[in-house]
Order: sequence, then C-alpha cells, then structure tokens
Amino acid sequence: MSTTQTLAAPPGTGPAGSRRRRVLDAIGSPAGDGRARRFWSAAAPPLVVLVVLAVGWDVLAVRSGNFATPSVEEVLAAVPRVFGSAEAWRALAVSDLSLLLGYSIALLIGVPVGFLMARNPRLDRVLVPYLEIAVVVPMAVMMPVVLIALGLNRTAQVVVIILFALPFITAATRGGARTLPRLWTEMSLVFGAREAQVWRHVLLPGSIGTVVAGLRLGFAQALTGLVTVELTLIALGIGRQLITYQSHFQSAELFAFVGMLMAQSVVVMSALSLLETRVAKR
Amino acid sequence: MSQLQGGTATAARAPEGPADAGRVVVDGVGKTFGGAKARRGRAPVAHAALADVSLTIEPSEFVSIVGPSGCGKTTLLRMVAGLTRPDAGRVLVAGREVTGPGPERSMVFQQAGLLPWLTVMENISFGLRLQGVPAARRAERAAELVHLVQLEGFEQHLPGELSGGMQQRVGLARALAVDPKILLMDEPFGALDEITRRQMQGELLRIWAADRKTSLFVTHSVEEAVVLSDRIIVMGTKPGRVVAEIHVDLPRPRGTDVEETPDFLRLRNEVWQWLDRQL
Repeated sequence: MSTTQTLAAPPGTGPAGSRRRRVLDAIGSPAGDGRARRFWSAAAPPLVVLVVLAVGWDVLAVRSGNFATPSVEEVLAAVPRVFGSAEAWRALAVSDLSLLLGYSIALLIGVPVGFLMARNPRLDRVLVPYLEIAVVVPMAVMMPVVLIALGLNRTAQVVVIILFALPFITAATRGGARTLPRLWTEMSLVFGAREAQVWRHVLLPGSIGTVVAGLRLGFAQALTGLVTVELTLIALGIGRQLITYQSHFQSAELFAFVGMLMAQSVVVMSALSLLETRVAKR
Repeated sequence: MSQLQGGTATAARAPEGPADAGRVVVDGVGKTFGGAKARRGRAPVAHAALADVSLTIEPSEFVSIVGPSGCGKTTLLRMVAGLTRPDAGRVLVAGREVTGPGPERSMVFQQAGLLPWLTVMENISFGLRLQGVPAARRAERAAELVHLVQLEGFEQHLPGELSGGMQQRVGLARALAVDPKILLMDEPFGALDEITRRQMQGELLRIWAADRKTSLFVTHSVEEAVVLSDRIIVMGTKPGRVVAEIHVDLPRPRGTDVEETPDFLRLRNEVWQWLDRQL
C-alpha cells in the first residue's frame, strides 16, 4: 500500500507567488524577496554622500558670489536641455569614435604583444624596458610629439589614446600570462599542443581574468587620453562642446555635459567590471 | 635479483615492429643545470643532475624509479616525456630519438595539472581535443574513462569541487584517454594522504592490469614501488645515476594486500639497502 502523499504547495510559491513577492519587495515590504532591499542598502551610502556633496556645493556656490558657478538646481535643470541636445550628442559621438578606434587598436595590439612577451623570453627582454617606461611616464608628454608628426586631426587623437591605453593592457596581459602555472603549459605540450593551441586552450582562458582587468584599466587610461587631448590640443568633439559652453557662459550646461561624460564612462566601466566578475567566477 | 652499481648499458636498436612501440631506451644520458651565469661575487656553479644514465623499459613493463631527493628522477622522466633535452646521450622511444613530446607518450603529474575552468569530462578529453578528435568521439571516450576511474556522477564538476584523489583519477583518465604506448607518472600520489594514496595504488593496479601499458613511475615511496612494479630502478645522487635494478617477482594480478607477503618485505628491504648506501 503506497504511503506517498501529495502535499499542497505552500502559500506564496509558484509563478503568482513569485510575482507577489517582487511587488512586495519593490514597495519595501519585509514579505518581499529582499533583493530590492539589499540593492538600496548597498546604494544608500554613496547616494547619501552624493546628496551631502550636492548640498555642500550649493552652499559654496551661493557663498562664493561667483555668477559662473551654477547651483545644483541649475545643473539639474540643465540636464534635460543637454541630454536633449543633438549638438551635445553629436560632440559625444565624434569623441566616442576616436575613443573606440584608439581603444580597439590598443586592445588588438596590447593583448597579443602581452602574450608574446610572456611566451618569448628574448622578446620580453627587448620590450620590457620600453613597457616599464610607458607605464611609469605620463603619456601626455608624448602629445606634442604626436601632434608635430601627425597634425591636429583625428589620427593624432587616436594615436594619443593608443599611447595612453596600450602600456596598461600589455602589462596586465603579460603579467597574467606569466603567473599561470608552468604545469598547465607543460601539460598541454605533453598532450601535443602546438603553440597556437597553447595560446587558445591555456594562455587565454587561464589569464582571462587578468586580461579583462587590464582592459578595464586600459579603458580608463584611454578615456584620460581622450579628455586630455580634447581639452588641450585637438578639440574635435567634447572639447569643442565644452569650449562652446564656456565661451557662452553656459556653466550649468557645461556641468551637465561633464555629468553626461561621466555617466557614459560609468556605464562602460560597470560593464567591464561585470565582465571581470563573471570571468573570475568561472 | 639486483644489479650492482654502474647500471645497465643497453645499446639502441632499430625498431623491429609493433612490438617495439612501447620500448623506451635511455642511452647514456646526462644533464647539467646552472653554470652559465655567475651569482654576484661567486663563480658559476654547475650541478650534474644526471650522469651517464642508461636503462631500458620493455613493452608492457611497469618500472618505478626511486631515489633520494635530487637524484634526477623527475629530470629523467621529463627527458622521456620530451620536456627536457639531455646534454649528453639520448632517449629512444620505439627506436626513434626523442626530440620533444609525442602522441605515443602521456603523463600524469604530481599536482594533477587539471585546467580549473574545464569540467571533468573536458579535462579528460583535453588531449583528444588537441589532436582534433571530433566532439562526439571525445565525449564517448571520456565517458569510458569516467567509468574506468569510477567517477560517475562527477562528469560536469569542476576540479575545484573534487578531492585530491579524485583530481588524480581525472589526471590518470586524461593520460589514458589519448591511448598512449607509454605512460609516464611523476609521483602522482605524492600529494595525497596515506589512505587515499593506498586507495589510488589499488586503482592503478586494477587499471593497469586491463591495458598493461609500458609505464615509468617516479616515486619517493619504496613500498609503493614494490607494490606497483615489475622492476625498480634505484638511483643515487651526486651525480644522478643508476645504482641498482631490482626485479619484482611478485605475481600478478596484485592488490595492495601483497604488502603482507614475505616476498614483499624481502624486496622492500633490498631496495632500502641500496638506498641506505646512497644516504
């Protein structure tokens, strides 16, 4: 005689229960599944800091008496104007194209060169001094050299971005590949791996975490290079837009536009961080 | 029966056919490390890891190498694997000189060397993948070996989710997956606790008995060498060289319970006598 009993599903389970929990969670009810509560718990401290900074900024803006310093209210009011401005988006697109080109080239050169340096001791001995110089010395000093050689154009801008990003991508890739256990490479050789297979099956997957970390660092450097070159020498996109706002005394719009740049950077860096986290969890 | 100090000198011969496919000949090999660069304020110091080592491993023979640390056991094994080139002499497999790794040789490492981002099945079939074997055949072969090493249920686990003994089973399965003629094992149980080690010895005896591949096994454990081997090579240090060859005449098939027999004790003591002379 079977003693199996079919138990009724507990209340709150199933698809309807799951939806209910999400709604409750969104309104902050303890009966929710807690994810929203955890999100706001993590986000609250930085938001509080932001509010404190905004209030402090407002007090300074009022007290300074400097008409060029916008208040937080004025900047927030300018945000929809700037974000809705085709001109601002066009300026951002022009600079983003240089950023994309420069960063992509730096990535396509830096990752293979980093692996080559890790695999070839002779090549490593030749290139390491230059790599170390490039990492330590601010590449901004190379900007005048690039401009003299290439002129005031997008090509020079892209080269500057490459110079900023490439050393960091290369160094991170080289470092990651060098720290891989030698056993993995030898094991693959014992099983007949050719050099390309060592790269594909061991080097790249084994050091992907460090490579992605290097890509994130490289992007930050690329962005620094872009902003530096745009603001100082070759204003093609964001530099030109910032100069326009400045010359028209549109300080609130200028601040809002800077916020737009920062928001874009945060989105890209967050995506790379997410990629890094996912790769690290493998 | 043991061989007096001086080792054996077996001349290389041309391959005579498929029967020679699993024969390994080590012919007067020597290896020196260091010496090219002087340390600050000091003269260059060269270290002779191996000097004039010669031995032959016949097809289907299980040979262990024992010796004190620094006697060159692993260096010798790496030479047979093709990972290290000898400075003198040569290593021949199936009559052909070893110049690098080859598909007829496979290796089990002390630290397993599993790739942590690959599952058990993917690690086992790693060598097959490098050889371009189609995915379906790889999966089939890996499944056979999962069964052989008794890891059913763990096919999709990552190495980090396995115990040390289980990782070594995967390492062994990976080495067997490519169906080598010669199996090289570098202290594969050295990092395991005593209980797991003994269990793995039993597993290896069972697995080896099914296929009887030519095997060269490096170990620090005399008991392990006697349990597993047909012949034991005793090496000495400074420089690394063969000091004795001891034939293990224990009957096969064997289990780890062979350690309780008088013949086992006799052989173990004989090996230790040779080792004691080197210490």
